Amino acid sequence: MEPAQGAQRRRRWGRELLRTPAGALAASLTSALVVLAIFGPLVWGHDASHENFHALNQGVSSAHLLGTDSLGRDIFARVLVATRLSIGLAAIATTIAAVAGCVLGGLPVLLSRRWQRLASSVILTWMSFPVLVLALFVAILLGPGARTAVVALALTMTPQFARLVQTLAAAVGGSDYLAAARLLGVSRRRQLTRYVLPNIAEPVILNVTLSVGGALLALSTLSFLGLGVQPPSYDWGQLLGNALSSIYVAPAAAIGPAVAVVVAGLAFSFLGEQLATSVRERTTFRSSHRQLSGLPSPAANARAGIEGPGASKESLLEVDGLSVSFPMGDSWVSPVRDVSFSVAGHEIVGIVGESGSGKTLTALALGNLVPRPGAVAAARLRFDGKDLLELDDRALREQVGTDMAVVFQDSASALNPALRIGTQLTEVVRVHKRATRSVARRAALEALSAVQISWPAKRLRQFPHQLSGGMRQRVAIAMARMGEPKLVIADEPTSALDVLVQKDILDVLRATCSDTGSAALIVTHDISVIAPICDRILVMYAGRLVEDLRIGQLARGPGHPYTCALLESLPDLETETGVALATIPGRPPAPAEVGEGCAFAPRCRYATDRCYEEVPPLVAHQGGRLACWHPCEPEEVDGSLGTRASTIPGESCHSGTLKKAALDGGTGVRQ
Amino acid sequence: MTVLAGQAERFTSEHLSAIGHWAKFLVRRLIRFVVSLAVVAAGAFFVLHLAGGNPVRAALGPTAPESIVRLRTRQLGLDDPLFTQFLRYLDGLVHGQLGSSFITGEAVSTLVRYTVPNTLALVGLALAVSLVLGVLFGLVLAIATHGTSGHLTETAFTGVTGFLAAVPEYLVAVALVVVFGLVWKVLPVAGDSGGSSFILPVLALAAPSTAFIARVARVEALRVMSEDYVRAARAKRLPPRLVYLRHVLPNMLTGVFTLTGLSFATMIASSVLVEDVFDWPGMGNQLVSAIGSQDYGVVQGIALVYAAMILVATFAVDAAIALLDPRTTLMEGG
Amino acid sequence: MSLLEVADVTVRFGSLTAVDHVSMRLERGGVLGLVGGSGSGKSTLARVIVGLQRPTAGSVRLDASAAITSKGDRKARARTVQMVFQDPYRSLNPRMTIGEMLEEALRLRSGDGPADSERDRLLDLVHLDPAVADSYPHALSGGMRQRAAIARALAVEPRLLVADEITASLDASVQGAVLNLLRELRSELGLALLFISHNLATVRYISDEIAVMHNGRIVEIGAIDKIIDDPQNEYTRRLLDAVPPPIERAAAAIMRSRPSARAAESTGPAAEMSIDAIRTSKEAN
Repeated sequence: MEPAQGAQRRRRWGRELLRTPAGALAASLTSALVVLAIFGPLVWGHDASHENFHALNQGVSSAHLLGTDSLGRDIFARVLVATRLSIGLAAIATTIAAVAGCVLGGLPVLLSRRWQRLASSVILTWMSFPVLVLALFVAILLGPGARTAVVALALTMTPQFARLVQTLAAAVGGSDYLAAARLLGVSRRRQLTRYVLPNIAEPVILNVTLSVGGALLALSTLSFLGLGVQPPSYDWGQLLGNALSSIYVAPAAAIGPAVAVVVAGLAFSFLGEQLATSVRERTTFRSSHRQLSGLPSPAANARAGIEGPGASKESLLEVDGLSVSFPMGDSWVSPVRDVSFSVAGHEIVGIVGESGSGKTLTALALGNLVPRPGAVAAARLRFDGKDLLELDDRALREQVGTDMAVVFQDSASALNPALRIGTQLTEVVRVHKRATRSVARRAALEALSAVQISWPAKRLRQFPHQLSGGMRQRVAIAMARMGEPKLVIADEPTSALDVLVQKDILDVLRATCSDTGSAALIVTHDISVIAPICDRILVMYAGRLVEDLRIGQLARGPGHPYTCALLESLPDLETETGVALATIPGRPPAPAEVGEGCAFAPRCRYATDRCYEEVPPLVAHQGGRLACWHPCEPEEVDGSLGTRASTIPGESCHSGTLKKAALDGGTGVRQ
Repeated sequence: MTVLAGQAERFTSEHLSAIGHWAKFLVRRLIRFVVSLAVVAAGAFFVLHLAGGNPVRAALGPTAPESIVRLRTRQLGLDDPLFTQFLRYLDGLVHGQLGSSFITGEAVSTLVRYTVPNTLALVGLALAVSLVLGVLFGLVLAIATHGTSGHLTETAFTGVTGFLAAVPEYLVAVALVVVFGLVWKVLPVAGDSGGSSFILPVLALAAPSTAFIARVARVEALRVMSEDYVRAARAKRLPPRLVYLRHVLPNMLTGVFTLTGLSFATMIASSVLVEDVFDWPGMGNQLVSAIGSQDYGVVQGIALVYAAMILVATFAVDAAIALLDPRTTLMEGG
Repeated sequence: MSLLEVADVTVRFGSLTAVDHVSMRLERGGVLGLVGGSGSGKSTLARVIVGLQRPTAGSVRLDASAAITSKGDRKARARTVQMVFQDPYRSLNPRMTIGEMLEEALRLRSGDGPADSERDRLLDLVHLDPAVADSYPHALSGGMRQRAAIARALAVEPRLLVADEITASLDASVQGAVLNLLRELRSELGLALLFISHNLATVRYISDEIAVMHNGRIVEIGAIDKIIDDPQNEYTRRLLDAVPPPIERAAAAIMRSRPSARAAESTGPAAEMSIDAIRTSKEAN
């Protein structure tokens, strides 16, 4: 099986490369050069060396396209013949350097860390050796000539390859899959051949191709100087060097080899770049020039949604029919579809979902922060009475300003690593409230104290990497509160943090909201973490809002089978340990995989035909909103908020004691 | 009480460690610089003396009388034991002696005294121009091609810069000589006659690097612009100029320096050829003629000077990177 | 004789002490949960136990053998203890199919080429479709990859499986399946487990005993129920406090404390609606 798989991959490379016009051009150009290198001397060899004393130093003519040199030889022929030596030497030098580099960079990874460090310093010191100096020394040692040039070039290129291979191999060396292989007892040789080499092959091969172009140019430079190929052999560099002295008289003699050098060098570099693009397996987010059809427009999607709890003319945030789409190939993919909800002032709302639910993009869309080329569409998007869809960047800056603040997930990347904390904190008020430096500084200190950071004055001068994750997140919250926001949007604020710190951060967030009187919209994948601080929870699945319920309702029993099943499957400190956990079969779908109908249907025990065909609308339900054809009924409670009744092990909640509301007469469960 | 003491202790040690990291990093780099220089110097010496044949004979030519060859050999101290020569060589280096010409016997340091400033001027100017223009173009183009717009601009940019970056400096020099020397005689193409004669040599030397730096800068700028902290800056509704200059620029410069640091070394090396083409009175010109006449005493001396220049440039780049991104000082083997 | 005996293990990286004089033991078929925050040293300890990290001091004994040092012993160790890593996106070789990976592991156990049936049996053990054998890792979801990684570890028939935060990178709705699988394997194969996690609720669900690590030391160790009901150590108490309460209690608490939550509960245009009303409104749309 192995060789076949390998061959399959190579064929895929070739086909992908030739598919684009640029790739085909690059491939044909380099092939032509290689053919020329091989057969050139056979065809033009005679003309190139034929000395004609009757036609010395002639200019351009029909007989001699580029004229003749001081011995009457046809320059055009010489340029063509020189291809072999020019490309050949470049290829040889590159190959030597690549092999030596692979060994120097790759081998230490399989040995101990001490070898790695040693190799690393050797490589780095070697790399700082100037190429010219190396060439000169080699020339002194060996005398000028082709061999010198190749040796010098190989010596220069080896550390560059070694560095590349070392970085790649280190990535593999530090990987869990290599560790797993070592654990199993895989032999070192097999580690090299099946683990390290296959995973570094592609970038290395690409680099080799690119380097041949560079080697070509470098070799021509050396020959031009007189250190490389010596007469009677000649390559492009030497031809150019000879032509320089008479350049004013016969420029064509110089132009020929010059063009050859550039074209050949470019051809190989171009090939390398095209290989890189064709091999990269990524979804092209590149939209073509013509208008992409089928972008879901809000008018088509927006239903007259029954507004949920809290919605009124004074809602702080009103979202209706929000969709976020990305171009993929010829069409669009919508990770967020037709989401509608509202947030009242002072309210803390949580958006919960797993991967592919679209929760993060929803939050980003509100702040106009969706990464390009994403497109946001909505029937209505109002914040604090202003229509967000109408405002461009500048208007957003002036009218919304800091009323809407965002706290990102990974504080390490949300704080600029090159700027001090103080700068990043104070710029908010200095820009928006035109505060002076001292006023801004005082405000920053206040904000830091409010989020309970120790030594606030010292922190102002520090860089983000000097703080721990929890402290950085506090800084991010401080940054948000400095603008006195009306709404704080927090995207997974605790996901990257240690478990002990998570609770603290949420407390800080809650305190901030009560201090500033702002509302909050917290996006998270962990429902149990935010339940303690939210008034309301929005549940998203596969891009849609499937449930909108108050926290009390969540406790009594959610209506959507997904929410229900989710709660059941997460163990808490009181879950029975003797029984299997309730599970949800399957996994959440990716945005491109979502079909017609309810996205949860394939995993839902109570899915019927209708569920697969029609998307259930979001309608009012038990004081909240729900999108489901077969909602769960809440359990009978005995007046207090008790624990849920234990269910049949291994199955989710709506199979056991809970009644199923058969709204459409119940057509039976799809098997 | 002990808690406070502990906190105070952490305070001071953190401060010290911050300065300490930078100092330690600089020292590490300095060591590498010195080691490289030492290796180059030693290498220069041994290469010269391990080369076969009699270098003096090679320099003076086959027709020179034997007595002259012997005299010159003795003058240059080349018949002393190798170790003595090495010590003398090291001693000379410390005092700024770079060896002597095999042909004329002149000290290399005298030979290059007036040419080094010319080379430094040319290279310095070219470095500055390529860096400033490259970063500027890169950033501007990144803003223009960010997102889905500017598809055509992007292709044009990549095409032009790709082409220009791949052309070696001496070719650009030759092309400029042809254009301005033959066709459009508005700028001087040879020698150093003051201000305007700088234009073409600097252009030739800087053009390919500018194109290369601009490409790298654009890619880096685009990468930085997609980082969370730029999004956070936008979320703070800061004016775009502030976002680009304060948030994007420092972070992209780190990447630019890291990736293009080597090209500075290449530029210094390429200056040799550019000087040759433009007949610029710098070290490069001397080097080329020394190579031609096989005067390896001069070659070795000038090679050392270039090596020193390049190593200094590399060291400066590393220091700049460390200054821009404090995190690099913490990296192992950094 | 215990299956695993860790005796006074210390691991130092320069001036940083990651693991500080840790001792513990695990019996055959037992499940020990190891909890701690980030930087507590639990992952480092795990790597020492499986042999990926050499301890600065102390020893690890597996199955009453002498402390493992030489290469021959390493093979024996591979048959005794295996590990499943946290990130399912990085623990499988991107250039090998699942089938190739399992065959390689099976070959290491028995020496000659394994039958397809053996491989399929492994896949079945972790509830993966046999067709998965022809897929590359990038075609599988996180939960499936994690199960494939478990299959790989089981191929050499170890007696102890170290699971290092194996559910941390998985979606909530998928975690349960993996946890159930571990329970099954324990009862079917008599597998002992060292289950590392920062999530106390998950650890409690699956372990008999629990060890709490903080700053490289074990601060508390004992039967799971006892420790949760009556934690002796301050750090353990903090960990327990940090566990989110069950939803109902959280909801009750929040309703008590926040006026806006209470207000949202009782007012609002869409109050309790009956089933009939829902049906009517749906039909109207």
